[in-house]
Amino acid sequence: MIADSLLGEGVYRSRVDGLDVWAVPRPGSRQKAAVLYIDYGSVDLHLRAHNSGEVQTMPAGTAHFLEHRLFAKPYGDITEQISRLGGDVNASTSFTSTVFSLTCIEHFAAHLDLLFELALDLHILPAGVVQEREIIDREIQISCDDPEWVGFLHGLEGLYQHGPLAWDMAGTRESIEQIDEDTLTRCHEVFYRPEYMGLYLCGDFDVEVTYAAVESALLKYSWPRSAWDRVERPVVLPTPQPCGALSLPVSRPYTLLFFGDDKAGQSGRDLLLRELALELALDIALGPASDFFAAHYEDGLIDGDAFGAEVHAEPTFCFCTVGGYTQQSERLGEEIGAALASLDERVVAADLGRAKRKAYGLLLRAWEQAEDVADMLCSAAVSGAAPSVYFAVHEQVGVGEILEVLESCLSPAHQSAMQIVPTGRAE
Amino acid sequence: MHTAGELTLVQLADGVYLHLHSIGLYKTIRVDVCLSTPLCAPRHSLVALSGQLLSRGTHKLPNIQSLNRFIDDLYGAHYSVQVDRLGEYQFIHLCLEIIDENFLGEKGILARGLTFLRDVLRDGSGFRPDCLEREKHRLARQIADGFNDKLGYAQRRCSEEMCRGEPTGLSPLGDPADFAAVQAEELWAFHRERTATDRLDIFVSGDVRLEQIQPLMESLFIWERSSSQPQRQPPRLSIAGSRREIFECQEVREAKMVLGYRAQVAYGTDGTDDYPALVLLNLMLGGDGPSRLFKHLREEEGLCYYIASHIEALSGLLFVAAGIEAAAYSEVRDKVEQELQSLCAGGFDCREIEAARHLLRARLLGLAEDPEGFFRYQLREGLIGGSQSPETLWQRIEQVGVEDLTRVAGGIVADTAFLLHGT
Repeated sequence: MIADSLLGEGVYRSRVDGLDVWAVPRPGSRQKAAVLYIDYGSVDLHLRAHNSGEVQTMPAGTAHFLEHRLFAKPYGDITEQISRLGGDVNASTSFTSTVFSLTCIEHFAAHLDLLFELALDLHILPAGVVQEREIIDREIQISCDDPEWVGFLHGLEGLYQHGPLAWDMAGTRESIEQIDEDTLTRCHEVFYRPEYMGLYLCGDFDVEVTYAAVESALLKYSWPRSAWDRVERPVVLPTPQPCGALSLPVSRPYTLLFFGDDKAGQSGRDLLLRELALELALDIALGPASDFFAAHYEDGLIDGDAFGAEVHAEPTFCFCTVGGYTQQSERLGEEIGAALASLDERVVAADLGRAKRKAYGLLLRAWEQAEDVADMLCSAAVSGAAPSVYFAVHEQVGVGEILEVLESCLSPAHQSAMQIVPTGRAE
Repeated sequence: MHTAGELTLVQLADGVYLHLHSIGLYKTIRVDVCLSTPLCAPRHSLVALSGQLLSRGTHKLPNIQSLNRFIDDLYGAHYSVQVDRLGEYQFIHLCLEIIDENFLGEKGILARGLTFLRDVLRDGSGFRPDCLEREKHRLARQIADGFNDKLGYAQRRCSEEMCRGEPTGLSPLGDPADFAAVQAEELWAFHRERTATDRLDIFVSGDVRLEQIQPLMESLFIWERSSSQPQRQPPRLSIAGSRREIFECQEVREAKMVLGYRAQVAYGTDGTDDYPALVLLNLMLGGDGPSRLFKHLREEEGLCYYIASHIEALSGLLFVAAGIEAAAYSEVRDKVEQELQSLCAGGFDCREIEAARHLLRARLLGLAEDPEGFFRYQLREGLIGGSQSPETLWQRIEQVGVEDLTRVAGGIVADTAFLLHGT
C-alpha cells in the first residue's frame, strides 16, 4: 500500500509479521539498500523483571558489544557470506539505536535473509566474548585519540552531567569487563524483537515480492517471551554546568558551545519542525551567508571548513553544537553568543527566504542515492513521522518558530562551553 | 551490463574535455571541474595558493558573503574548491551540485551555476595582495590542522618519508615554507598561464542531454589555449628505496602504524598491465570486507580494532594502516609480512578469490551510481589518457588467475614503516 509520496516516488509501508517495513521502489537503479534498525542504543541500560518489577542495570557499552558479537556465527564472520553475494554491510550503535545497513546490486532477497540472520541469530561463546573485549578496548582507545570526539563527550557532560548521554557508546575499559554471555543473551532477547525493529528499503524491486521475501526470512525466527522488559527511555532535559578545559595534542584550540533544549520530548511533526527551526536559526545567525561568518572569516577567528553547527534532535533529547578550531576560544564563544542574541524579528524575516531555499535543496539532496533514501526513511520513522512531513514542516516553518527556538534552546541559559587547549606541539 | 546511464566524451578545445554522464535517477546535477598539472616543487605551493584565492569570489561576487549568498540562492547548492592529488598529478577541483530544475519552479539554475564556475576559474578577482596574505595564513593553518587526525597524519608522514624526492611525496596543499615569497601578481600570471595550457576536465552527471549542455559548455569553457600542454605520461613506477623504520612520539593512547610497500605495478592504458590482479590481491589482503588482515589480526588475534590496506593506483604503492598497542608493533608488522609471503607462495583458496571477486564486481558495476566514486574513477582515466570503463576493468578482473596473483604478490617490496606512538 502506498503510504506516502515524495518527489514523484511512492513510499510503501507494511507490517510484515509485526515488523514495520518501509520501501521506496526505484526502477532503473542498480544499487539496492536496506537498513535494519533496532530501537536499542547505549542509553538503554535498564531492564525490569516481569515478575518482581526489580530493575537491573546493564554495563555501559552492552548494545555496542552485542552489535559486534552478532557478526560471529558458528561458521565464521557473516560478512564473508554477504560479500560472497557482492554485498557490503555495516553496523553502528548510537545513543538510541543499533543499525545494520546493507548495499548490494543483485540477489536482494538472499541479502535480506542474511541481514536478518546477522541481527537475529545470536551465537555467543565465552572465548568470543573475551576476544571481543580486547577489540572493543582498542576501539575505545582509538576514540580517546580523536580530539573532536573527546570534546563532544566532554561537552555533553557539561550539558547533562554524568549519565549515558555523556558516555562513549562503546562503554569504558571497566564496564566492558562486566559484559558476559548472560548480559548479551538477555539484552538480545529483550530488544531484538519485531516491535522494536524497522526495515527501510530502496532500489529496483517489486514491493510485494520483497515483502514476501521478508516474511519468509522471518519465519526462521521466534521470539520467546523474555523474563525481562525494557524500561522506557526517559526524556533528558539539560542542566548546563561550566566544564573545564581539556588539554590534548591538537594543532590549535578547539571550542564547542552546547545548547540543550529544555523543550525536548516532542515527536512526529513537532519534532521535525523544531529540528528545522533550530537549523534555520543557526544558519541565519552563524551560517556561511551570515554577517557573523563574513566578519570573522576575514579577521581569522574562524575558517570555513573548521567551523560549523549541528542539531541533534531525537524524541528523548535535543541539543545543538556550534564551534570548531580557532586561535581564540574565549572570543569565539563570546562572538557566537552575541550573534545569536542580536537576531531579532526583522533580521530573521529578511533572511528567511534565503535560508529556506537552502534548506529545501539540502532536503532534496538527502534523497539521492538508494542508501540515502533508506537512511532518511529510518530517520523519519524514528522521529515518528511520515517522510513527507519533512517537506510539510519546510512549508510551515516561519519567523515565529525561529524566534521561539532562539529564546529557548539557543539562549545563554541553556548553554555550556567546552574547550580543548593544545599540549603537544604541532609540527 | 552497461554502465548505468550513458557516457559521452567531447573535446571542447585543445586539452579541454567534457565528460557527460547522462543518468535519469537523480534530483541533482553534479559538475566537477578539474585543472590538472604534474606535481612538482615548489610549483605545487603556487597551485595550492591559487586554489585558495579562487575560493575568494568573482567580480560579480566580490566577497565571501555575497558568494555564499549566491550559493544558498541556488537552492543550497553544494560548492567546494579543493586542491587534491592523484598519482603524480595535482589538480584544482571545483565541485558544484545543484538541484535539477525539474524539481524546482525555476529555470536557468544550471546555466547560472556553470557561469559561476567559469568565473571562479577565469576572472581572478581574488588575486589581490591583501587576500593572498590572509589565504597564506589560512592554508598554513589548514595544513597544521592535519595533525589532529592521528591516523591521517601517520599516513601522510609515511608517504612523505617513503617518497621523498618523488612527486608522490609532495602534499597537494603545498609547503608553507614556500608561501612567504609568493606575490599576488606573479600568482595570477601563473594561474592564467595554467588555464591556457593545463588539461581541463569537466564532468557533468545528471539528467542532462548532450544537445542541451554542449552549446552552453562551448560558450563558457572555450578560450584561447596554447598547445604546449605536456604529453600525458603513463604512470612511472617508483623506485624501491631501502627498508626503513621511522618512529615518532606524541601524546597518543593508541599507536598508529602505517607500512608502505612498492607494488611495482603501474595502472596502464593498454589493457596489459597487472593492475586488475593488484586490485584483487589488495582486497584479499586488507581491502574492505572479510580480508586476511581483518580476519587474522583483528578477529583471531585481537591485535587491533582497525587494520586495512589500500593501493594508490597511479603510483603503484600499497599501504597497510592499523591502530595498535605500541608494544605489539613488531608482532603486527611480522604478521603482515607473513600474510604477504603466504600470498606470494600461492597460499589462498578459490573461495577467498571468489569472495573478493564478487565484492569487486558489485563495487565496479555499482560505481556509476556513486557520484563521488565515479568522478574519481573517470578523472584517473582522463589523467592517463585511458578510457577503460568500470565494466571493462571488471572483465579483466574476471580473467585474473592464480599465477597472476602470485606474480604480483611476489613483486611487492617493503619500503618505509612509520609508527606514531605514545609516551
